[in-house]
Amino acid sequence: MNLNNATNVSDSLNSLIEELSKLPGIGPKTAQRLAYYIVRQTERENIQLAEAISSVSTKIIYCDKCQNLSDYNPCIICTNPNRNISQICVVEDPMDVVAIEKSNCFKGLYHVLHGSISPLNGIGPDQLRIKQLFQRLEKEDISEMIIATNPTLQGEATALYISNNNTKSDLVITHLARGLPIGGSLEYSDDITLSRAFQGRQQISE
Amino acid sequence: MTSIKTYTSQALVLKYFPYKEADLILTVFTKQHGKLQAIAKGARKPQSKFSGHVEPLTVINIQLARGRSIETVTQVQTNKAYPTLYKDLNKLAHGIYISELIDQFTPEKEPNKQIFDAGIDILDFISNSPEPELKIRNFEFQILKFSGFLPELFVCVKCGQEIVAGEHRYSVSNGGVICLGCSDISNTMDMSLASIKLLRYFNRHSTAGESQLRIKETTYTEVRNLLLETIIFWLEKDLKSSQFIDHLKTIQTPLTKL
Ligand SMILES: [Zn+2]
Ligand SMILES: [Zn+2]
Repeated sequence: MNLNNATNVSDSLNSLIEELSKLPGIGPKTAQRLAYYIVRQTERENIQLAEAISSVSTKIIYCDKCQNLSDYNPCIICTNPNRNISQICVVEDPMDVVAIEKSNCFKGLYHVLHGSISPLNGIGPDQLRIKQLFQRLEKEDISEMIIATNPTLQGEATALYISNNNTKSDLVITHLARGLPIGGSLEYSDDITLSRAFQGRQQISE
Repeated sequence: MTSIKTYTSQALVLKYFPYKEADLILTVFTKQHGKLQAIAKGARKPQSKFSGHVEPLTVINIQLARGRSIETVTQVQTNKAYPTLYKDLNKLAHGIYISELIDQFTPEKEPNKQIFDAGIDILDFISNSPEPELKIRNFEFQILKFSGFLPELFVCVKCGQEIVAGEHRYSVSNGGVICLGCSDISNTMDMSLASIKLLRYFNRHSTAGESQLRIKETTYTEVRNLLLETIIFWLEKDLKSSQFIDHLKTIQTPLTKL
């Protein structure tokens, strides 16, 4: 995919298209459409948009503890006295925290890695906030680490790397059950999911 | 309106990247049609019929619909998955390296059944064997061979004279062994008799039995470097996943020495 079909009319429009197409999920055509839309907006609307974009990079900070994005440091989850500080849930992205919080099933603390190990893209452990995680395990009173990376090759590589390199001996490391998705059927499930579903099977309580 | 033309093939998933809200753009190496890019719509939703079937290092039967710039995945069935690769970081890293090698060496839409079969073979081996390294070196040799970059192992790449045992070096840029008379030390690499023998063995045996070979550590290291330099020379770049394997080695060494 390239931008050869972009406009030759205006350098500033071209550079807007180029910037937009760097965003995830935005191909060159979508970038072009968005750029033309922005051009047709009023100046006031565009200044608001520009200000909103620039203020996220100045106002939003990383929580020193959980590394999540926040307006405060430490963030409101890390400072909430009702959270269970002995459990830490490790996720890839801030959006995962949002999803787990919405489900209301976890009351411990989080640690956001900001990505997953991706050897093909040159993203190794050092590019993620794994060092900070190990520092927390040293300092804080954590007894269980729940690794909730995505059930993908990169997520699995990240989970394996973290559990292989943990040095805290009394730590219980768990992994989210990789079960069958709700609404999925056994017939269509793949071999890896099925083998994990068997591993993660649970006793049916009476 | 033209009718949608679909076709099926066995394929190895090499990699993917997310596209739009929930799609994936896959790179698959198909047995019948070579390497292709294909969009799997909705594949990132957990309840998608593609979910789990399109992870890298999965052998699948894929049905594709021809598109103008990119194919669309219409059906996927897992043919063979490698759960053991997903449980061991070292194995996983080696598996990723294999997929990167295949991805880098195969041009789009050019079938290469030899590379396909050798690829499945090496993944089987990595998955089942505690020490797959030597066989991975053989796979590197095979992918060079099947891509048309077979290193010359018998006559000097400069003067064409038959190589005398023990009197040879290796020239990456000239593509193979070079006699002592033709080689200059700065542009060529050391190559022991054991190394040339091992490479000739690879040339004769694409698959069987490396685990029974007894290779000295120095020979292994020399052959590993010769192959790596040759790969980098032809690809004109370093392989990213081999850096990750090296990284894992640096952190695992102290643990195994305990
Ligand atoms: Zn926090
Ligand atoms: Zn010569």
